[in-house]
Amino acid sequence: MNSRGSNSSGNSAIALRRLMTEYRQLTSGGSPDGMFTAGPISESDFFTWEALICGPKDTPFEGGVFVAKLTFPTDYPLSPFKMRFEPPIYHPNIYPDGTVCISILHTPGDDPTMYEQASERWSPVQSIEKVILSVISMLAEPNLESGANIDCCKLYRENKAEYERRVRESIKQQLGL
Amino acid sequence: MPTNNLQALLSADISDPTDFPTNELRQLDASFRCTICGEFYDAPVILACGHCFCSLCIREHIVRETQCPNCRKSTAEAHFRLNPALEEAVEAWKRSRPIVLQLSKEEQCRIESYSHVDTQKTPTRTRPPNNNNTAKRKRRARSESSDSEIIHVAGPSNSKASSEVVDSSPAPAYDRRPSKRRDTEPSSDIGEEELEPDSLISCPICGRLVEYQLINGHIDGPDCGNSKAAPKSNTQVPNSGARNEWSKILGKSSLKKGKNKESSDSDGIMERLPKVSYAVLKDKVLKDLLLSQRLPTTGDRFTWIARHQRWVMMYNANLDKSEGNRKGLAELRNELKRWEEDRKISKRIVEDVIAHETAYRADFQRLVEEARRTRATPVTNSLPHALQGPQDNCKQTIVDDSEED
Ligand SMILES: [Zn+2]
Ligand SMILES: [Zn+2]
Ligand SMILES: [Zn+2]
Repeated sequence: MNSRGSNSSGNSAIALRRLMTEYRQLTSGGSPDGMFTAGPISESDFFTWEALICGPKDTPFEGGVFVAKLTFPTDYPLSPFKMRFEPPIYHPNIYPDGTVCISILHTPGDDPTMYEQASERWSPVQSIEKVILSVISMLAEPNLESGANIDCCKLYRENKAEYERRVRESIKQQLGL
Repeated sequence: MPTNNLQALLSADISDPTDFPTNELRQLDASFRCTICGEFYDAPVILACGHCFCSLCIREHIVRETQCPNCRKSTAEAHFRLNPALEEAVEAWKRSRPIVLQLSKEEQCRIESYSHVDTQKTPTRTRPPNNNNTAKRKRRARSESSDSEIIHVAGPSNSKASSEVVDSSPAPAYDRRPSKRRDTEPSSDIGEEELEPDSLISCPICGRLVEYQLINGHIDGPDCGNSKAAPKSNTQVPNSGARNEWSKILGKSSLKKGKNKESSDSDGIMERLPKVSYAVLKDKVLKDLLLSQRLPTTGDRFTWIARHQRWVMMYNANLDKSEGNRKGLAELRNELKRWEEDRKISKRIVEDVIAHETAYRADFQRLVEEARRTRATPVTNSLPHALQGPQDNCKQTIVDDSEED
Protein backbone atom coordinates (compact mmCIF):
# COMPACT_ATOMS: atom_id res chain seq x y z
CA MET A 1 0.00 0.00 0.00
CA ASN A 2 1.05 3.51 -0.58
CA SER A 3 2.21 5.64 2.23
CA ARG A 4 1.19 9.20 2.72
CA GLY A 5 2.86 11.68 0.48
CA SER A 6 4.56 8.86 -1.34
CA ASN A 7 6.30 10.45 -4.23
CA SER A 8 8.22 13.58 -4.89
CA SER A 9 5.44 15.84 -5.93
CA GLY A 10 3.10 15.90 -2.95
CA ASN A 11 1.28 19.16 -3.25
CA SER A 12 -1.49 19.44 -0.75
CA ALA A 13 -3.14 22.38 -2.45
CA ILE A 14 -4.06 20.33 -5.48
CA ALA A 15 -5.17 17.40 -3.36
CA LEU A 16 -7.31 19.62 -1.17
CA ARG A 17 -9.06 21.24 -4.07
CA ARG A 18 -9.85 17.92 -5.62
CA LEU A 19 -11.13 16.56 -2.28
CA MET A 20 -13.32 19.62 -1.84
CA THR A 21 -14.78 19.08 -5.26
CA GLU A 22 -15.49 15.43 -4.64
CA TYR A 23 -17.06 16.24 -1.32
CA ARG A 24 -19.31 18.83 -2.88
CA GLN A 25 -20.37 16.43 -5.57
CA LEU A 26 -21.08 13.67 -3.10
CA THR A 27 -23.20 15.90 -0.92
CA SER A 28 -25.14 17.40 -3.76
CA GLY A 29 -25.77 14.18 -5.64
CA GLY A 30 -25.97 11.61 -2.89
CA SER A 31 -24.86 8.07 -3.55
CA PRO A 32 -26.72 5.72 -5.86
CA ASP A 33 -29.57 4.11 -3.93
CA GLY A 34 -28.29 5.81 -0.80
CA MET A 35 -25.84 3.02 -0.17
CA PHE A 36 -23.21 5.13 1.52
CA THR A 37 -22.21 8.54 2.77
CA ALA A 38 -18.70 9.90 3.02
CA GLY A 39 -17.03 13.08 4.15
CA PRO A 40 -14.21 14.56 6.17
CA ILE A 41 -14.29 13.76 9.85
CA SER A 42 -13.45 17.25 10.92
CA GLU A 43 -13.10 20.68 9.48
CA SER A 44 -9.44 20.92 10.26
CA ASP A 45 -8.29 17.83 8.44
CA PHE A 46 -9.56 17.23 4.98
CA PHE A 47 -7.24 14.29 4.50
CA THR A 48 -9.14 11.92 6.74
CA TRP A 49 -12.66 10.94 5.84
CA GLU A 50 -15.21 8.58 7.21
CA ALA A 51 -17.58 6.53 5.12
CA LEU A 52 -20.73 4.79 6.31
CA ILE A 53 -21.61 1.90 4.06
CA CYS A 54 -24.78 -0.16 4.05
CA GLY A 55 -24.40 -3.89 3.58
CA PRO A 56 -25.62 -4.81 0.09
CA LYS A 57 -28.98 -6.52 -0.26
CA ASP A 58 -29.18 -10.27 -0.77
CA THR A 59 -25.80 -10.84 0.82
CA PRO A 60 -24.95 -11.89 4.35
CA PHE A 61 -23.97 -8.27 4.94
CA GLU A 62 -27.50 -7.02 4.42
CA GLY A 63 -28.76 -4.97 7.32
CA GLY A 64 -25.32 -4.02 8.55
CA VAL A 65 -23.79 -0.58 8.53
CA PHE A 66 -20.04 -0.39 8.29
CA VAL A 67 -17.76 2.44 9.18
CA ALA A 68 -14.60 2.92 7.15
CA LYS A 69 -11.85 5.45 7.50
CA LEU A 70 -10.36 6.87 4.32
CA THR A 71 -6.85 8.26 4.53
CA PHE A 72 -5.67 10.44 1.66
CA PRO A 73 -2.08 11.02 0.62
CA THR A 74 -0.97 14.59 -0.01
CA ASP A 75 -0.44 13.72 -3.65
CA TYR A 76 -4.00 12.51 -4.14
CA PRO A 77 -5.30 11.81 -6.79
CA LEU A 78 -1.99 10.79 -8.30
CA SER A 79 -1.77 8.22 -5.52
CA PRO A 80 -4.80 6.36 -4.18
CA PHE A 81 -6.17 6.65 -0.67
CA LYS A 82 -6.32 3.92 1.96
CA MET A 83 -9.50 2.46 3.27
CA ARG A 84 -9.90 0.67 6.55
CA PHE A 85 -13.03 -0.64 8.23
CA GLU A 86 -13.26 0.24 11.90
CA PRO A 87 -14.13 -2.14 13.40
CA PRO A 88 -12.82 -4.69 10.86
CA ILE A 89 -15.19 -6.76 8.76
CA TYR A 90 -14.83 -10.49 8.37
CA HIS A 91 -14.33 -10.85 4.62
CA PRO A 92 -11.81 -12.62 2.34
CA ASN A 93 -10.48 -9.32 0.94
CA ILE A 94 -10.23 -7.39 4.17
CA TYR A 95 -7.18 -7.76 6.35
CA PRO A 96 -7.80 -8.68 9.97
CA ASP A 97 -6.93 -5.08 10.89
CA GLY A 98 -9.74 -3.82 8.66
CA THR A 99 -7.65 -2.56 5.73
CA VAL A 100 -9.37 -3.17 2.41
CA CYS A 101 -7.40 -5.01 -0.24
CA ILE A 102 -8.93 -4.17 -3.58
CA SER A 103 -7.27 -3.66 -6.93
CA ILE A 104 -8.83 -0.25 -7.55
CA LEU A 105 -6.81 1.06 -4.60
CA HIS A 106 -3.54 -0.42 -5.82
CA THR A 107 -0.85 1.15 -7.97
CA PRO A 108 1.37 -1.00 -10.18
CA GLY A 109 3.95 -1.01 -7.44
CA ASP A 110 1.78 -2.54 -4.78
CA ASP A 111 -0.10 -5.43 -6.23
CA PRO A 112 0.68 -8.03 -3.62
CA THR A 113 -0.63 -10.97 -5.61
CA MET A 114 0.25 -10.13 -9.22
CA TYR A 115 -3.20 -11.39 -10.14
CA GLU A 116 -4.65 -8.01 -10.78
CA GLN A 117 -5.37 -6.62 -14.18
CA ALA A 118 -3.82 -3.25 -14.92
CA SER A 119 -7.26 -2.13 -16.01
CA GLU A 120 -8.61 -2.51 -12.49
CA ARG A 121 -5.98 -0.48 -10.72
CA TRP A 122 -6.01 3.00 -9.34
CA SER A 123 -5.79 5.89 -11.74
CA PRO A 124 -6.18 9.57 -10.98
CA VAL A 125 -9.51 9.66 -12.76
CA GLN A 126 -10.97 7.22 -10.25
CA SER A 127 -12.88 8.76 -7.40
CA ILE A 128 -13.99 8.14 -3.87
CA GLU A 129 -17.43 7.27 -5.12
CA LYS A 130 -16.17 4.72 -7.64
CA VAL A 131 -13.94 3.08 -5.05
CA ILE A 132 -16.70 2.78 -2.48
CA LEU A 133 -19.04 1.30 -5.06
CA SER A 134 -16.35 -1.23 -5.95
CA VAL A 135 -15.95 -2.09 -2.30
CA ILE A 136 -19.69 -2.62 -1.99
CA SER A 137 -19.67 -5.06 -4.88
CA MET A 138 -16.62 -6.71 -3.37
CA LEU A 139 -18.63 -7.32 -0.20
CA ALA A 140 -21.16 -9.14 -2.33
CA GLU A 141 -18.60 -11.03 -4.39
CA PRO A 142 -15.25 -11.68 -2.76
CA ASN A 143 -12.22 -12.07 -4.98
CA LEU A 144 -10.57 -15.26 -3.78
CA GLU A 145 -7.53 -14.84 -5.97
CA SER A 146 -6.20 -11.99 -3.95
CA GLY A 147 -7.16 -12.86 -0.44
CA ALA A 148 -6.25 -10.70 2.50
CA ASN A 149 -7.74 -12.78 5.28
CA ILE A 150 -6.43 -16.28 4.62
CA ASP A 151 -8.60 -18.07 7.16
CA CYS A 152 -11.65 -16.35 5.83
CA CYS A 153 -10.76 -17.30 2.25
CA LYS A 154 -10.40 -20.89 3.31
CA LEU A 155 -13.69 -20.95 5.12
CA TYR A 156 -15.41 -19.27 2.18
CA ARG A 157 -14.09 -21.90 -0.20
CA GLU A 158 -14.70 -24.91 1.96
CA ASN A 159 -17.87 -24.05 3.80
CA LYS A 160 -19.68 -21.08 2.40
CA ALA A 161 -22.73 -21.62 4.56
CA GLU A 162 -20.64 -21.40 7.68
CA TYR A 163 -18.91 -18.27 6.35
CA GLU A 164 -22.25 -16.60 5.78
CA ARG A 165 -23.46 -17.62 9.18
CA ARG A 166 -20.38 -16.05 10.75
CA VAL A 167 -20.87 -12.82 8.85
CA ARG A 168 -24.50 -12.57 9.86
CA GLU A 169 -23.58 -13.35 13.42
CA SER A 170 -21.06 -10.54 13.52
CA ILE A 171 -23.58 -8.10 12.14
CA LYS A 172 -26.11 -9.06 14.76
CA GLN A 173 -23.48 -8.51 17.38
CA GLN A 174 -22.59 -5.17 15.93
CA LEU A 175 -26.21 -4.11 16.02
CA GLY A 176 -26.49 -5.34 19.58
CA LEU A 177 -29.23 -7.84 18.84
CA MET B 1 -0.68 25.39 11.20
CA PRO B 2 -2.02 23.55 8.23
CA THR B 3 -5.40 24.89 9.17
CA ASN B 4 -4.41 28.25 7.75
CA ASN B 5 -4.17 26.64 4.42
CA LEU B 6 -7.40 24.75 4.90
CA GLN B 7 -9.26 27.78 6.08
CA ALA B 8 -8.05 29.75 3.12
CA LEU B 9 -9.17 26.96 0.91
CA LEU B 10 -12.56 26.60 2.49
CA SER B 11 -13.25 30.27 2.23
CA ALA B 12 -11.93 30.48 -1.30
CA ASP B 13 -14.41 29.90 -4.03
CA ILE B 14 -13.80 26.57 -5.54
CA SER B 15 -16.13 26.27 -8.40
CA ASP B 16 -17.44 22.92 -9.47
CA PRO B 17 -20.19 21.67 -11.75
CA THR B 18 -22.70 21.29 -8.94
CA ASP B 19 -22.83 25.08 -8.68
CA PHE B 20 -25.35 24.86 -11.48
CA PRO B 21 -28.96 23.99 -10.81
CA THR B 22 -29.54 21.72 -13.78
CA ASN B 23 -27.91 18.55 -15.01
CA GLU B 24 -27.41 19.89 -18.48
CA LEU B 25 -25.37 22.82 -17.27
CA ARG B 26 -23.47 20.63 -14.85
CA GLN B 27 -22.46 18.40 -17.71
CA LEU B 28 -21.45 21.37 -19.78
CA ASP B 29 -19.31 22.71 -16.96
CA ALA B 30 -17.78 19.29 -16.33
CA SER B 31 -16.83 18.89 -19.96
CA PHE B 32 -14.41 21.79 -19.62
CA ARG B 33 -12.65 20.17 -16.69
CA CYS B 34 -9.67 17.89 -16.47
CA THR B 35 -10.59 14.54 -14.94
CA ILE B 36 -7.37 14.43 -12.95
CA CYS B 37 -7.54 17.69 -11.05
CA GLY B 38 -11.22 18.49 -11.52
CA GLU B 39 -10.44 22.05 -12.58
CA PHE B 40 -10.79 23.80 -15.90
CA TYR B 41 -8.28 22.54 -18.42
CA ASP B 42 -5.02 24.37 -18.12
CA ALA B 43 -2.91 23.91 -21.25
CA PRO B 44 -4.95 20.93 -22.43
CA VAL B 45 -3.12 18.23 -24.33
CA ILE B 46 -4.50 15.24 -26.18
CA LEU B 47 -2.93 11.81 -25.96
CA ALA B 48 -2.78 9.35 -28.83
CA CYS B 49 -5.93 7.66 -27.47
CA GLY B 50 -7.83 10.95 -27.72
CA HIS B 51 -8.19 11.62 -24.01
CA CYS B 52 -7.37 15.05 -22.81
CA PHE B 53 -5.80 16.41 -19.61
CA CYS B 54 -4.02 19.49 -18.31
CA SER B 55 -0.46 19.33 -19.51
CA LEU B 56 0.92 19.54 -15.99
CA CYS B 57 -1.49 16.92 -14.63
CA ILE B 58 -0.61 14.33 -17.24
CA ARG B 59 3.10 15.11 -16.96
CA GLU B 60 2.95 14.41 -13.26
CA HIS B 61 1.02 11.24 -13.87
CA ILE B 62 3.33 9.70 -16.43
CA VAL B 63 6.26 9.99 -14.09
CA ARG B 64 4.55 7.18 -12.23
CA GLU B 65 2.75 5.28 -14.89
CA THR B 66 3.02 5.60 -18.65
CA GLN B 67 -0.65 4.96 -19.32
CA CYS B 68 -3.61 7.14 -20.06
CA PRO B 69 -5.47 7.55 -16.75
CA ASN B 70 -8.73 7.11 -18.58
CA CYS B 71 -8.31 4.16 -20.90
CA ARG B 72 -4.90 2.78 -19.86
CA LYS B 73 -3.45 2.83 -23.34
CA SER B 74 0.24 3.38 -23.09
CA THR B 75 1.37 6.92 -23.60
CA ALA B 76 4.46 9.11 -23.55
CA GLU B 77 5.30 12.76 -23.61
CA ALA B 78 6.16 12.50 -27.28
CA HIS B 79 2.51 11.67 -28.05
CA PHE B 80 1.08 14.80 -26.49
CA ARG B 81 -0.68 17.08 -28.93
CA LEU B 82 -1.75 20.60 -28.18
CA ASN B 83 -5.43 21.41 -28.13
CA PRO B 84 -5.79 25.14 -28.75
CA ALA B 85 -9.44 24.87 -29.75
CA LEU B 86 -10.39 23.44 -26.41
CA GLU B 87 -8.15 25.91 -24.68
CA GLU B 88 -10.02 28.72 -26.32
CA ALA B 89 -13.38 27.21 -25.47
CA VAL B 90 -12.35 26.89 -21.84
CA GLU B 91 -11.29 30.50 -21.68
CA ALA B 92 -14.57 31.59 -23.21
CA TRP B 93 -16.53 29.44 -20.79
CA LYS B 94 -14.64 30.80 -17.81
CA ARG B 95 -15.65 34.27 -18.88
CA SER B 96 -19.27 33.36 -19.47
CA ARG B 97 -19.65 31.19 -16.44
CA PRO B 98 -20.56 33.81 -13.83
CA ILE B 99 -23.27 35.15 -16.05
CA VAL B 100 -24.64 31.79 -17.07
CA LEU B 101 -24.59 30.78 -13.44
CA GLN B 102 -26.51 33.82 -12.38
CA LEU B 103 -29.06 33.53 -15.16
CA SER B 104 -29.61 29.85 -14.56
CA LYS B 105 -30.17 30.40 -10.89
CA GLU B 106 -32.57 33.21 -11.52
CA GLU B 107 -34.38 31.00 -13.94
CA GLN B 108 -34.54 28.25 -11.38
CA CYS B 109 -35.99 30.62 -8.82
CA ARG B 110 -38.56 31.77 -11.28
CA ILE B 111 -39.58 28.24 -12.11
CA GLU B 112 -39.85 27.37 -8.48
CA SER B 113 -41.83 30.42 -7.56
CA TYR B 114 -44.10 29.80 -10.48
CA SER B 115 -44.72 26.28 -9.38
CA HIS B 116 -45.65 27.56 -5.97
CA VAL B 117 -48.11 30.02 -7.33
CA ASP B 118 -49.83 27.55 -9.51
CA THR B 119 -49.42 23.92 -8.73
CA GLN B 120 -52.25 22.46 -10.69
CA LYS B 121 -51.82 23.41 -14.25
CA THR B 122 -48.43 22.10 -15.04
CA PRO B 123 -47.50 18.86 -13.40
CA THR B 124 -43.80 18.71 -14.16
CA ARG B 125 -41.86 21.79 -13.47
CA THR B 126 -38.53 20.64 -12.30
CA ARG B 127 -37.16 20.92 -15.77
CA PRO B 128 -35.62 24.13 -16.90
CA PRO B 129 -37.40 26.00 -19.60
CA ASN B 130 -36.79 25.31 -23.20
CA ASN B 131 -33.75 27.22 -24.19
CA ASN B 132 -35.35 28.63 -27.26
CA ASN B 133 -37.78 30.53 -25.18
CA THR B 134 -35.16 32.29 -23.23
CA ALA B 135 -32.83 32.81 -26.08
CA LYS B 136 -35.31 34.55 -28.22
CA ARG B 137 -36.65 36.67 -25.45
CA LYS B 138 -39.72 37.38 -27.41
CA ARG B 139 -43.27 36.58 -27.31
CA ARG B 140 -43.99 33.64 -29.42
CA ALA B 141 -47.38 32.69 -30.63
CA ARG B 142 -48.21 29.30 -31.88
CA SER B 143 -51.58 29.96 -33.16
CA GLU B 144 -52.30 27.21 -35.61
CA SER B 145 -53.77 24.87 -33.10
CA SER B 146 -56.43 25.54 -30.57
CA ASP B 147 -54.05 25.26 -27.68
CA SER B 148 -52.27 28.35 -28.68
CA GLU B 149 -49.87 29.74 -26.22
CA ILE B 150 -48.15 32.98 -25.67
CA ILE B 151 -45.09 32.83 -23.60
CA HIS B 152 -43.84 35.94 -22.09
CA VAL B 153 -40.26 35.68 -21.11
CA ALA B 154 -38.79 38.44 -19.13
CA GLY B 155 -35.51 39.89 -20.21
CA PRO B 156 -32.57 40.25 -17.90
CA SER B 157 -33.61 43.68 -16.84
CA ASN B 158 -36.78 44.15 -14.91
CA SER B 159 -39.57 44.26 -17.35
CA LYS B 160 -43.22 44.47 -16.70
CA ALA B 161 -45.02 41.65 -15.08
CA SER B 162 -46.81 39.09 -17.06
CA SER B 163 -50.35 40.02 -17.47
CA GLU B 164 -50.28 38.51 -20.87
CA VAL B 165 -49.91 34.92 -19.93
CA VAL B 166 -52.58 33.10 -21.72
CA ASP B 167 -54.21 29.81 -21.02
CA SER B 168 -53.00 26.44 -19.96
CA SER B 169 -50.03 25.74 -22.10
CA PRO B 170 -47.92 22.84 -20.98
CA ALA B 171 -44.84 24.96 -21.04
CA PRO B 172 -44.50 27.15 -18.02
CA ALA B 173 -44.96 30.83 -18.43
CA TYR B 174 -42.82 32.98 -16.29
CA ASP B 175 -43.63 36.02 -14.45
CA ARG B 176 -41.10 38.21 -12.96
CA ARG B 177 -42.58 38.73 -9.56
CA PRO B 178 -39.90 39.57 -7.08
CA SER B 179 -39.91 36.36 -5.17
CA LYS B 180 -36.48 36.13 -3.70
CA ARG B 181 -36.59 32.47 -2.99
CA ARG B 182 -33.15 31.21 -2.25
CA ASP B 183 -31.74 28.35 -4.06
CA THR B 184 -31.58 25.23 -1.99
CA GLU B 185 -28.49 24.04 -3.77
CA PRO B 186 -25.49 24.05 -1.48
CA SER B 187 -23.10 26.40 -3.06
CA SER B 188 -20.90 29.12 -1.92
CA ASP B 189 -20.44 31.77 -4.42
CA ILE B 190 -21.94 34.07 -6.90
CA GLY B 191 -25.48 33.61 -7.84
CA GLU B 192 -26.67 32.73 -4.41
CA GLU B 193 -27.58 36.29 -3.85
CA GLU B 194 -29.58 38.28 -6.25
CA LEU B 195 -26.98 40.31 -8.00
CA GLU B 196 -27.33 43.98 -8.51
CA PRO B 197 -25.10 45.38 -11.22
CA ASP B 198 -22.81 46.92 -8.67
CA SER B 199 -22.71 44.07 -6.20
CA LEU B 200 -19.35 42.48 -5.66
CA ILE B 201 -18.62 39.00 -6.84
CA SER B 202 -15.34 37.23 -6.61
CA CYS B 203 -13.50 36.78 -9.84
CA PRO B 204 -13.54 33.15 -10.95
CA ILE B 205 -10.00 33.48 -12.21
CA CYS B 206 -8.11 35.33 -9.55
CA GLY B 207 -10.57 35.50 -6.68
CA ARG B 208 -10.58 39.26 -6.29
CA LEU B 209 -13.79 41.05 -5.50
CA VAL B 210 -15.06 42.85 -8.53
CA GLU B 211 -18.27 44.62 -9.36
CA TYR B 212 -20.53 42.24 -11.13
CA GLN B 213 -21.02 44.44 -14.16
CA LEU B 214 -17.30 44.95 -14.52
CA ILE B 215 -16.29 41.33 -14.27
CA ASN B 216 -15.74 40.72 -17.96
CA GLY B 217 -13.54 43.73 -18.30
CA HIS B 218 -11.62 42.73 -15.23
CA ILE B 219 -10.97 39.22 -16.50
CA ASP B 220 -9.67 40.53 -19.77
CA GLY B 221 -7.66 43.23 -18.09
CA PRO B 222 -4.23 43.29 -16.54
CA ASP B 223 -5.36 43.08 -12.88
CA CYS B 224 -6.63 39.60 -13.25
CA GLY B 225 -4.85 36.34 -13.27
CA ASN B 226 -1.57 36.05 -11.58
CA SER B 227 -2.66 36.34 -8.00
CA LYS B 228 -4.24 32.95 -7.47
CA ALA B 229 -2.30 32.60 -4.28
CA ALA B 230 -3.51 35.86 -2.89
CA PRO B 231 -5.57 34.37 -0.09
CA LYS B 232 -2.87 32.12 1.23
CA SER B 233 0.41 33.66 0.31
CA ASN B 234 2.67 35.65 2.56
CA THR B 235 2.12 33.52 5.64
CA GLN B 236 4.55 30.87 4.50
CA VAL B 237 7.97 31.89 3.51
CA PRO B 238 10.91 29.58 3.37
CA ASN B 239 13.94 30.37 5.41
CA SER B 240 15.26 33.85 4.96
CA GLY B 241 18.18 32.80 2.84
CA ALA B 242 15.83 31.23 0.40
CA ARG B 243 13.61 34.25 0.58
CA ASN B 244 16.44 36.54 -0.32
CA GLU B 245 17.44 34.42 -3.15
CA TRP B 246 13.90 34.10 -4.44
CA SER B 247 13.32 37.81 -4.14
CA LYS B 248 16.56 38.57 -5.90
CA ILE B 249 15.36 36.44 -8.72
CA LEU B 250 11.76 37.51 -8.71
CA GLY B 251 12.28 41.11 -7.73
CA LYS B 252 13.87 42.31 -10.89
CA SER B 253 11.39 41.04 -13.32
CA SER B 254 8.17 40.90 -11.38
CA LEU B 255 7.85 44.68 -11.48
CA LYS B 256 7.43 44.57 -15.19
CA LYS B 257 5.54 41.41 -15.65
CA GLY B 258 4.71 39.96 -18.98
CA LYS B 259 5.89 41.90 -21.93
CA ASN B 260 9.33 43.10 -21.07
CA LYS B 261 12.92 42.13 -21.43
CA GLU B 262 12.27 38.90 -19.63
CA SER B 263 9.58 37.85 -22.00
CA SER B 264 11.50 38.98 -24.99
CA ASP B 265 14.18 36.67 -23.81
CA SER B 266 11.50 34.04 -23.38
CA ASP B 267 10.10 34.67 -26.81
CA GLY B 268 13.17 33.09 -28.23
CA ILE B 269 12.86 30.09 -25.98
CA MET B 270 10.46 27.83 -27.74
CA GLU B 271 12.54 24.77 -27.09
CA ARG B 272 11.31 22.42 -24.44
CA LEU B 273 13.67 21.63 -21.64
CA PRO B 274 15.09 18.11 -21.79
CA LYS B 275 14.67 15.61 -18.97
CA VAL B 276 17.72 15.18 -16.79
CA SER B 277 19.10 12.04 -15.19
CA TYR B 278 19.91 13.61 -11.87
CA ALA B 279 21.50 10.54 -10.34
CA VAL B 280 24.61 10.86 -12.46
CA LEU B 281 25.10 14.60 -11.94
CA LYS B 282 27.62 16.06 -9.54
CA ASP B 283 26.39 18.75 -7.14
CA LYS B 284 28.29 21.40 -9.03
CA VAL B 285 26.63 20.52 -12.33
CA LEU B 286 23.24 20.41 -10.66
CA LYS B 287 23.77 23.89 -9.26
CA ASP B 288 24.84 25.19 -12.64
CA LEU B 289 21.72 23.69 -14.11
CA LEU B 290 19.60 25.67 -11.66
CA LEU B 291 21.58 28.83 -12.22
CA SER B 292 21.24 28.52 -15.95
CA GLN B 293 17.49 28.66 -15.47
CA ARG B 294 17.92 31.49 -12.98
CA LEU B 295 16.58 29.38 -10.13
CA PRO B 296 17.82 29.58 -6.55
CA THR B 297 20.31 27.05 -5.23
CA THR B 298 19.15 27.06 -1.63
CA GLY B 299 18.50 23.80 0.15
CA ASP B 300 20.07 20.41 -0.21
CA ARG B 301 20.62 18.20 -3.19
CA PHE B 302 17.21 16.66 -2.81
CA THR B 303 15.61 20.10 -2.94
CA TRP B 304 17.61 21.05 -6.02
CA ILE B 305 16.45 17.97 -7.87
CA ALA B 306 12.83 18.43 -6.87
CA ARG B 307 13.04 22.09 -7.85
CA HIS B 308 14.58 21.46 -11.22
CA GLN B 309 12.27 18.57 -12.00
CA ARG B 310 9.24 20.65 -11.23
CA TRP B 311 10.63 23.56 -13.21
CA VAL B 312 11.06 21.39 -16.30
CA MET B 313 7.48 20.17 -15.99
CA MET B 314 6.04 23.63 -15.52
CA TYR B 315 8.16 25.09 -18.23
CA ASN B 316 7.19 22.48 -20.78
CA ALA B 317 3.55 22.53 -19.77
CA ASN B 318 3.54 26.28 -20.27
CA LEU B 319 4.62 25.73 -23.84
CA ASP B 320 1.52 23.62 -24.36
CA LYS B 321 -0.60 26.74 -24.12
CA SER B 322 -1.26 28.89 -27.11
CA GLU B 323 1.17 31.69 -27.33
CA GLY B 324 -1.16 34.38 -26.10
CA ASN B 325 -1.99 32.46 -22.94
CA ARG B 326 1.53 31.59 -21.91
CA LYS B 327 2.89 32.82 -18.65
CA GLY B 328 6.08 34.80 -18.46
CA LEU B 329 9.12 33.20 -16.91
CA ALA B 330 8.83 35.50 -13.92
CA GLU B 331 5.34 34.24 -13.23
CA LEU B 332 6.46 30.66 -13.66
CA ARG B 333 9.22 31.21 -11.14
CA ASN B 334 6.68 32.66 -8.77
CA GLU B 335 4.57 29.55 -9.15
CA LEU B 336 7.54 27.35 -8.53
CA LYS B 337 8.18 29.24 -5.33
CA ARG B 338 4.60 28.78 -4.20
CA TRP B 339 4.80 25.13 -5.04
CA GLU B 340 7.79 24.74 -2.75
CA GLU B 341 5.92 26.50 0.02
CA ASP B 342 2.91 24.27 -0.44
CA ARG B 343 5.09 21.23 -0.19
CA LYS B 344 6.37 22.43 3.13
CA ILE B 345 2.81 22.77 4.33
CA SER B 346 1.99 19.33 3.01
CA LYS B 347 4.74 17.81 5.05
CA ARG B 348 3.49 19.51 8.12
CA ILE B 349 -0.03 18.31 7.51
CA VAL B 350 1.24 14.78 7.32
CA GLU B 351 3.08 15.09 10.58
CA ASP B 352 0.11 16.68 12.22
CA VAL B 353 -2.31 13.96 11.40
CA ILE B 354 -1.29 11.72 14.25
CA ALA B 355 -1.39 14.48 16.83
CA HIS B 356 -4.55 15.70 15.33
CA GLU B 357 -6.27 12.36 15.49
CA THR B 358 -5.55 12.05 19.16
CA ALA B 359 -6.60 15.56 19.92
CA TYR B 360 -9.82 15.34 18.03
CA ARG B 361 -10.73 11.81 18.91
CA ALA B 362 -13.44 12.94 21.29
CA ASP B 363 -14.79 15.41 18.83
CA PHE B 364 -14.85 12.77 16.19
CA GLN B 365 -16.74 10.35 18.42
CA ARG B 366 -19.31 12.97 19.14
CA LEU B 367 -19.80 13.70 15.47
CA VAL B 368 -20.23 10.08 14.63
CA GLU B 369 -22.69 9.60 17.45
CA GLU B 370 -24.63 12.59 16.30
CA ALA B 371 -24.65 11.28 12.80
CA ARG B 372 -26.04 8.02 13.93
CA ARG B 373 -28.78 9.63 15.89
CA THR B 374 -29.78 12.15 13.32
CA ARG B 375 -32.51 11.14 11.02
CA ALA B 376 -32.17 12.11 7.44
CA THR B 377 -32.02 15.85 7.34
CA PRO B 378 -31.44 17.95 4.29
CA VAL B 379 -27.89 18.14 3.15
CA THR B 380 -26.19 21.23 4.35
CA ASN B 381 -23.00 22.61 3.09
CA SER B 382 -21.49 22.96 6.49
CA LEU B 383 -18.41 21.25 7.68
CA PRO B 384 -17.49 19.03 9.32
CA HIS B 385 -19.15 16.32 7.40
CA ALA B 386 -22.17 15.54 9.45
CA LEU B 387 -23.02 12.45 7.49
CA GLN B 388 -26.50 13.64 6.91
CA GLY B 389 -26.92 12.59 3.34
CA PRO B 390 -30.28 12.03 1.78
CA GLN B 391 -30.05 8.31 2.32
CA ASP B 392 -33.12 7.40 4.25
CA ASN B 393 -32.79 3.69 4.12
CA CYS B 394 -29.23 3.98 5.24
CA LYS B 395 -30.23 6.22 8.12
CA GLN B 396 -32.80 3.74 9.22
CA THR B 397 -30.19 1.17 9.92
CA ILE B 398 -27.83 3.64 11.40
CA VAL B 399 -30.38 4.58 13.98
CA ASP B 400 -30.74 0.97 15.03
CA ASP B 401 -27.03 0.76 15.27
CA SER B 402 -26.69 1.55 18.92
CA GLU B 403 -23.24 0.21 18.89
CA GLU B 404 -20.76 -0.31 21.56
CA ASP B 405 -17.55 1.44 20.63
ZN1 LIG C 1 -5.78 18.94 -14.60
ZN1 LIG D 1 -6.99 7.42 -23.08
ZN1 LIG E 1 -9.52 38.17 -11.95
